Amino acid sequence: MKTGTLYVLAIAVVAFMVAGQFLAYGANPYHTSSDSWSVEGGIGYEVSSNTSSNYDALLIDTGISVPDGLMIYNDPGYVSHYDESYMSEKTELLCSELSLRNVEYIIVDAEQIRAELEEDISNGSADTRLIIQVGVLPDTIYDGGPDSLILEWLEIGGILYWTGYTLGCGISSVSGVYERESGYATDFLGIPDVDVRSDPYISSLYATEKAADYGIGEELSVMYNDSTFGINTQNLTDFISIGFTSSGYDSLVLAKYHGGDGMIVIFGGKPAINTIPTIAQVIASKLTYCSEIAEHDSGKLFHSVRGGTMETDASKTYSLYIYVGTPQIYARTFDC
Amino acid sequence: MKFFHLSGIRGENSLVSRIGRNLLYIFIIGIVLRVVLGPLTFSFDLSFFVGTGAGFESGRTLYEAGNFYYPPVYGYFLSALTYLWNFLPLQSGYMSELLVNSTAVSDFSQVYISSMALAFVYKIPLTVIDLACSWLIYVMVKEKTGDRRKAEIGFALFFLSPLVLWSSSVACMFDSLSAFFMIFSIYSLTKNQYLLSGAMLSLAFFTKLFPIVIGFAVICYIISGSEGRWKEVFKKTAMYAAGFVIAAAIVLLPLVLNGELSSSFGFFGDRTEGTSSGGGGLLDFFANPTPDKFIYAFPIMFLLIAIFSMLAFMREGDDDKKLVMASVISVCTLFIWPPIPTYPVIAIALIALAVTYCGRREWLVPWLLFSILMVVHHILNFGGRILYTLANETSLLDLGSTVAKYFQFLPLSWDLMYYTLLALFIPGIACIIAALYSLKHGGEAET
Repeated sequence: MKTGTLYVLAIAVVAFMVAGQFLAYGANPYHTSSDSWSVEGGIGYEVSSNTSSNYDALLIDTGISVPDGLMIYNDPGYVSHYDESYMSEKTELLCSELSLRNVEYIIVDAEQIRAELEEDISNGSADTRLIIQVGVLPDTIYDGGPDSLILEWLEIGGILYWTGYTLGCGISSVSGVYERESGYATDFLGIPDVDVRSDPYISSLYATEKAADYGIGEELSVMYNDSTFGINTQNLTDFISIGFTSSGYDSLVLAKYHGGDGMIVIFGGKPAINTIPTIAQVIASKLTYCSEIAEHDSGKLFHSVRGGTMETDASKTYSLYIYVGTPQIYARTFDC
Repeated sequence: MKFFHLSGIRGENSLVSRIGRNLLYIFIIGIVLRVVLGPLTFSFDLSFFVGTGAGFESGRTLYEAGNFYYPPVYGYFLSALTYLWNFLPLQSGYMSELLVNSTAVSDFSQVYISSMALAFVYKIPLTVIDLACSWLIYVMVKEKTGDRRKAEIGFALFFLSPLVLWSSSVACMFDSLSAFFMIFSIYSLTKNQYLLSGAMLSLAFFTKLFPIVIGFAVICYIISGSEGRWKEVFKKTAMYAAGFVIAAAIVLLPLVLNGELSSSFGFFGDRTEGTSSGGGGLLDFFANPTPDKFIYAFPIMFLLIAIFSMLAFMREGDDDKKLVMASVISVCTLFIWPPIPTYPVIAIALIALAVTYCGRREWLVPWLLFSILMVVHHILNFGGRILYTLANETSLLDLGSTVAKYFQFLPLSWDLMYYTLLALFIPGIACIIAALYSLKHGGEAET
């Protein structure tokens, strides 16, 4: 081969690579958008994309009002069951997944979380949600007693998303983690402790049977089956279980806080790269323990615009959740 | 009419003549095999590339969505390809609840089944890369030996290798791209294009790290070719290094600007972290030779590579052939420790050169062993999972029973894999024997 041809070949290959770099880091040529508006007796929506993707539009009867915002607890100064770099990476990924779903969030440390909850309590209503991925509650909001700040906040309607360890069992401080021996399940869910899978040395449990409300999870493209710290729902009353179940423990449960208006959503596994999109999906959709899917449209987008209308009942609270792609490349929630 | 008829025949004949009838047959066989293998797909690995593509479509960068676990070069290719694929009306794949019956399932990759359309479309660029690498081997052998037959055999040894076919057509892996850049680098070096050669080795390194081990051979080649003129050694080395650095700068610049440099090498820690938690003695270490333990064997390999490279250049003969021999020995030495089965694709490319250009037929034994044993081990590893796309989209198989059979045979597969994993030592041992034989009988090869 002539030397000149060799250079031409090299330049062609490098040019293709540089084009890829430019598309990923400079141009961002992809555009997906959606909109929603009121129509008589319902809502209209539209979704468009210059990609080749499938889309789903879910009209969710949420039953209760859900705030838009979210606090993500992450305090490297407080001990947890996960090391700092692991949690930093997962938090970064959660933020990325929430951003593509347009969820507004702030990251709070142990002191900030106390201030935020105190403010909500003094206002008498929770205007934001909270996710704790590290599997322990900081001692600034929970001391193991029934008058703890987090319980008061749940009482006034706070929404807590939980993953990483047994719910309410571990209390974290700057010096270590204190584990409660009993009463944690009663405090949070009003059920016996045995109903929350708790032995930290027990092997992982990946559930295989569909849970009672798996259909809702399926409509959201949620397939979450880690029941390692799952919930036995036999003594729960107001809840939906949208994941899988094995040995009596469900992987993904949305339950009403037994002592008030709030909600606790338990993802029964640990924060991991591939489960975080699922967590973000549930948060963004504003799904609640009393949700029902009122309508579900789906279709194919290929450099096109699609839309439709859905009937609503004026007496109910809805969110329209539109998501695009497998895995998701875009999602938006519209309150209606 | 007669004129057009004759000119048509002459044109067809000259095309066949230009390409070469045998080469055309090899090409057709290779394509047919790839098409036949097309419906077999390992959706698990493919899902990470689909996830990476979805990351781009959602406006995120290469490492931002957390799905890409390799150095960046192929990721950039994926970015460009994702853009092109968006002009095709195909669905990437499906999530299937039927797959929710194994451990650690609660993630997208475990429940994802790629669509047949995507599986074929995704493999087209990989086939082109296979072809480009085979063609480079053909061109180099033909140019150096003047023997078309040898060049055709070289082409076939790569393009029809079961391991190469498996890697790009079933495993959906891009090891051929690394092989392409590495062969490009070696070929350029033999044409005294030091800057270009350095740049290509850099691209090979930032595709999959392994080709960097030919660095010793490159240094020996430069020293040997300069015949003791150290100023010339310095000049050539500087040119080579400049090419390497320039290409590295182009590859890494977006990552540096975006603060993703550590992410681009994060995979290396992930792949070796299992090792640190492993216990047991030396016997356990060798009895369970998982690829992540490679890092412990690397110092010995490193030493062997340096020694073999120097020995290769201490023989009499043509420097270009010594470069190829030192490179093949260096790369194959890496795979003494059982690798992830697709990794030795780069060794296949170099073995093709060693056999056809250098005339070292003893390397056909490692070629055969790599080609067969790596694929057998990977088949046991993947199991019936490579049938999921076929089962999901055709009536040839039922997905539910395919999944059930996979789990039914899983314990047996694991038992067998223990032995096939141990068997992966065999190609590496064969390489060392072939290397020693080649070094001892350096002047006796057919030329």
